[in-house]
Amino acid sequence: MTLSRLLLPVLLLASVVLAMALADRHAMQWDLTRERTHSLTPAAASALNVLQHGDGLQLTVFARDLPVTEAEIDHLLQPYRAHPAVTGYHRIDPVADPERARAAGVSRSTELHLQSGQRLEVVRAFRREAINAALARLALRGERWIVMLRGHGEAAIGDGPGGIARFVRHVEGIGYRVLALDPREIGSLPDNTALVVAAGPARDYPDAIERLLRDYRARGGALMWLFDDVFPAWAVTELGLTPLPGIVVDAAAADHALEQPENAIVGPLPDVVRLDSADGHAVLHRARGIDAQDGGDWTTVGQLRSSPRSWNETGELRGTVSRDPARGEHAGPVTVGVLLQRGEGGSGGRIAMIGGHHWLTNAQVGQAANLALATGLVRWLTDNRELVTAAVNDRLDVRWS
Amino acid sequence: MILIIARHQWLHLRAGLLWWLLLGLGQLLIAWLAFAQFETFAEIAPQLKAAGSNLGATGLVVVPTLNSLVLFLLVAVPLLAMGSLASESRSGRLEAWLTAPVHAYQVILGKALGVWLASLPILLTTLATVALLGLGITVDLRLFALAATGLVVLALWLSCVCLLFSTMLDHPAAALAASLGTLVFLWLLDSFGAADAAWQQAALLPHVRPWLGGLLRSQDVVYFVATGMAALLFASYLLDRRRGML
Repeated sequence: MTLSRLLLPVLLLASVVLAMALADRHAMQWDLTRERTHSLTPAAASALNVLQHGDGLQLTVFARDLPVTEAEIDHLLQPYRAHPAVTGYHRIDPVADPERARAAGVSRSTELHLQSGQRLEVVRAFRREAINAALARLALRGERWIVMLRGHGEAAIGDGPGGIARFVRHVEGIGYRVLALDPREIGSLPDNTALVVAAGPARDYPDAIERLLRDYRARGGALMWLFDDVFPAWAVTELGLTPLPGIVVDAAAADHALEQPENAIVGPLPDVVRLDSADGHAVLHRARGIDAQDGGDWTTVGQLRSSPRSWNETGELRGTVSRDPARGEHAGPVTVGVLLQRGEGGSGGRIAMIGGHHWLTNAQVGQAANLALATGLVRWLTDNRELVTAAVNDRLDVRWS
Repeated sequence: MILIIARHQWLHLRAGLLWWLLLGLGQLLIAWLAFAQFETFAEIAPQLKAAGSNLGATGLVVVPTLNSLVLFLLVAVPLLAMGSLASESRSGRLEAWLTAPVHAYQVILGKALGVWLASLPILLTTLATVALLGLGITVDLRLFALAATGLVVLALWLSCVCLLFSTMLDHPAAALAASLGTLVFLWLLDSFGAADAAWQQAALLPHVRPWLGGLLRSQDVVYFVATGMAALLFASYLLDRRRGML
């Protein structure tokens, strides 16, 4: 009798516990706030997912123990703290505990330290954008140095219309470190180089530098090569690529309010470099065509192609231009970029060979999805493809035109 | 039959002094707290704005006031529910219920709905007072709507839980003490021990805080539905046992 009386309460309790355990395991949530304060941006969520499968993330807040400050920090960090990647959260008042603050190198009254393994990012401006950028930097895998070759007519890291400072600032903002190096001054590329960029060299590299780059490729290094008039000989022999004569002109440019025809409209972008934030087209100014043949042990994983209304114009770009097959002008779509990799999953190296460097310059990088394409290329080449980048600002102002 | 019992319970409570006292006290307390929060906010708002703070009036005024409203409900609903069945038992009227041709679950559900109906005017008038703040500050209406709905659900849940104790115990004061003790324990449970301890799932505050802040989570919905239904089922079972049916 006693047992039967106990049965219902026990069963009820078991049902409640089971229901709550199931609900906890298959949890769903809906952020109904106007400013979506409980939601992470795709970029932050993606970075946290990467960290979750790595060393996890420790958050340490150094801030005065004041109610409003506390409320503000709770409000800001709540969606981050709810993510399973966050394995620890500490709050330290630097005034009450100056020893720990000093040991952590705290220099402001309010700081957020994000630590994953040995990597540490310090956020001093308590804003979501700053935290998301720090997370993106923490989540980047592998070495983070990008070497920009200089000394042979490549585009410089400058703020002029032909410079590439805006691109450089953007990739530095998402966690890479960019270094401009003249290969004549070094014996070999730094060991921690994640990517080498040749942004439109105007002259052939001497043999010593060619050897240096060959060794780098042989080690499985990643290369982004933007060529104009000078096409590297190794790309013909190793990759099976040949430059097409002339400049790619595209009648589709007029559909995008571009007056000059020497703008190749490239889209859709290959999957490996397409970012979630960019599903549009890129505009490659004065692009060069590429004839891609079998690349031996290199596999083509994507191509950048202009519209079907394009061709490689070998004549003057004045007045009315039309295609002349007799002069080797190919009907569109014309391949203006080839993405190749070697070995399983690109373990033997990755190369992006792009016809033309103008699209990356300050004057052009704000066009359409050019910056997203550049970011996507860097992500893929450095094997951080699964990491979504922060949305590229589509209101990016182009100071030079 | 459930609705008849509910209406009877609601009219019975409304006829008592306690209900009117709770209505007045709730208004007074929430209005005072809301406008005290509002005054503090008005003082610090310029500094927050200058510092580029990400906080807003909803987070600094509305949500803390609704938090206070939750605490008020935690006291008010047990007071309303304490006599639902315990006083019937004490006065001898329970015999009439036990011999009446109605199922135990109908009595329990009707009583719980009656307590809930009695708590609604108290809740809705205080919510209206908080909503009036929208005249002076920018209130996130979606957040407020979710929080208000959550409070209505919380009042129903409290009615179910408190009715269980009123069914379990024969004295209204004992039912009130048991209800308050249990609810305060559940309210404070998350402050004991590690945050990831399994028993923290039973704590009340972690299931209330998200929807007060505009976050609707499935686990919170399941928590209130599962425990509320379990309380009703157990109360029905206890009533059937009194009838000698089990």
